[in-house]
Amino acid sequence: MASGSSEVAIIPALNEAQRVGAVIADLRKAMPGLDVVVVNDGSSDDTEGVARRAGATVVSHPYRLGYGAALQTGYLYALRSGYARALQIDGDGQHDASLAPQLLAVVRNGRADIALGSRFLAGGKVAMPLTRRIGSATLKRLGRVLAGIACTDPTSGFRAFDRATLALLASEDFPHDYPDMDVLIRLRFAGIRIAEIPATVRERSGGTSMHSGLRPLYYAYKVALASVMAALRGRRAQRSSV
Amino acid sequence: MIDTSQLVPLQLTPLQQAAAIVAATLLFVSILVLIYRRRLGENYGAMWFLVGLVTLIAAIWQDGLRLVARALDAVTLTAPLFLLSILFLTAIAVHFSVKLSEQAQQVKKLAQEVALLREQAELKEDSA
Repeated sequence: MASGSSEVAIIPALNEAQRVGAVIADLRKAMPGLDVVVVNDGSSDDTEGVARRAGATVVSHPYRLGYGAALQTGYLYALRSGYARALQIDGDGQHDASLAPQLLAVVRNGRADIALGSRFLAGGKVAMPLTRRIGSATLKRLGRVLAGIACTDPTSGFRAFDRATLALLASEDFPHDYPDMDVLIRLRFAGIRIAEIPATVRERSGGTSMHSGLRPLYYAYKVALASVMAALRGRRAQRSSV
Repeated sequence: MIDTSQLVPLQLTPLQQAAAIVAATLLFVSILVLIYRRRLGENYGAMWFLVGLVTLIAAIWQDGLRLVARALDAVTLTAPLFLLSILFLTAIAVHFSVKLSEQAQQVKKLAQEVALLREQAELKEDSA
């Protein structure tokens, strides 16, 4: 642990030199004692330098491994460094860092093992394109049907976890590209409790979203199939443990 | 609108059609089982689902297949199928060659990083 804190913020970042500094500053303002680790996913810009100068620990991939792989590197870092809880926030400034204390408090107080910042709960503000809104609604339905998950914003990248959840996420079975409803389904079948708080998500102020171009089509196929597979594996594991 | 008079006047026999449908179904099931057992990633699965889908469409919608045969001046319905299969297999071989080259570079870079980190760790150990 860098500062003796038992909590760490994990920021996955790919070419976010323009934005990651402000995210770190916002986090420091909201939680001055919080350790921050930026997982630089092989950026070609100065993401690493900006994050270091802003006071964060930086773990850099030697080349691009994907958003999910960057997150998992952060989970491994948190686990190996002995943190009790971790906060996950995107490096593009979409999430409101001032809500970090509330999100972590849900896990710290034992209300849940994983807390999600939801755009769709009362008090949360929604700013997302129609295609993503449709995708998110479909995923919600899928989660409810396959695993009884009643969360309103399964695609939220603003999350907090306890250590047991981190250990599950750091295991081998974690997608390298889009960790989404499939991961929540897996956690649900492992007995992890999920809670949500309202959160504001802003539109990106620049850079390229990982959901640009034809990627939403692949994303829909991939997450839907992975969710069904996660539910089938979960049910099989439940049956074999009875 | 399809002008049926311009189409190659051949069709798959019911046996050929059934075999194509069974092959496509088997492909779908095999890919699903491989993904379920974590032996195949969803990303590579997408490619094979597409192959199964095209096979299924070709088997069911024979007018479409005849249209392709006509465009290629083929005299049998199986000729465009073989041609498409060869083109697809070539594309896949090129795709995997590119992936292999990319991964060879990545493994080399990773090994270099590990070697440099080991040297740094040993230096730290010696000075401690």
